[in-house]
Amino acid sequence: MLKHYELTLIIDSQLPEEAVEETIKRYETFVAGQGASVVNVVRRGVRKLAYEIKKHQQAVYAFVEFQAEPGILPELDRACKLDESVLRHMVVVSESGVAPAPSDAEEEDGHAEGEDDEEDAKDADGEDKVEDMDEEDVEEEDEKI
Amino acid sequence: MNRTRVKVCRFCEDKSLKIDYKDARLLQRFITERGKIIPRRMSGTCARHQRELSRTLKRARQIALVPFAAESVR
Repeated sequence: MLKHYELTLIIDSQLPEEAVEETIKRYETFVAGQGASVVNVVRRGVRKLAYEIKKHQQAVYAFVEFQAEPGILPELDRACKLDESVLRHMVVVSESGVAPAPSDAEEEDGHAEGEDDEEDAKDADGEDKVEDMDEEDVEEEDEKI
Repeated sequence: MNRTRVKVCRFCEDKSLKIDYKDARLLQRFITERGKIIPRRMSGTCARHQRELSRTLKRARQIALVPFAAESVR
């Protein structure tokens, strides 16, 4: 039974652009080769990581959406693990309508735009964080523990 | 604790707001300075969306789009 999946690739940013591209392509063809169909590929470009991964502070993000039989997943996993340029990967069962949002200010390249617009999640009154006056309370909670 | 505030769930209000593990900007709003997930009573989200948020935040953490823990500025 065909399922929708989404593969997240975190690729070494030190690699030259062609190498990165080639890495991404490798998985596109891998997926296609296994009898699955690639629906979409999004390249997010370089982004600062929230924490260090394998001594890297930043990396290239790419997302490959595809449809496939669940049986190919172990193989895909294997391929990602063996690939040295892939620092981390994650396969997720797609909810419909995947729309990768643009990353924050770090993003320079222009071709990595997703299909859907990013929702600017500010409230009507311009609040940024969800908790405004409660922020201190939450921080106090942090302290207690 | 302030009991009198009636807060609506952002996701219930705006149906087009999707909880997506790739959307770091949206997700950032639901973690504290230290990187902890904001409890429902603070964020005002409904039970269902809080569960979804939690799941998505944890995914985003795996992908390093959102931190597991962050040093608060002191």
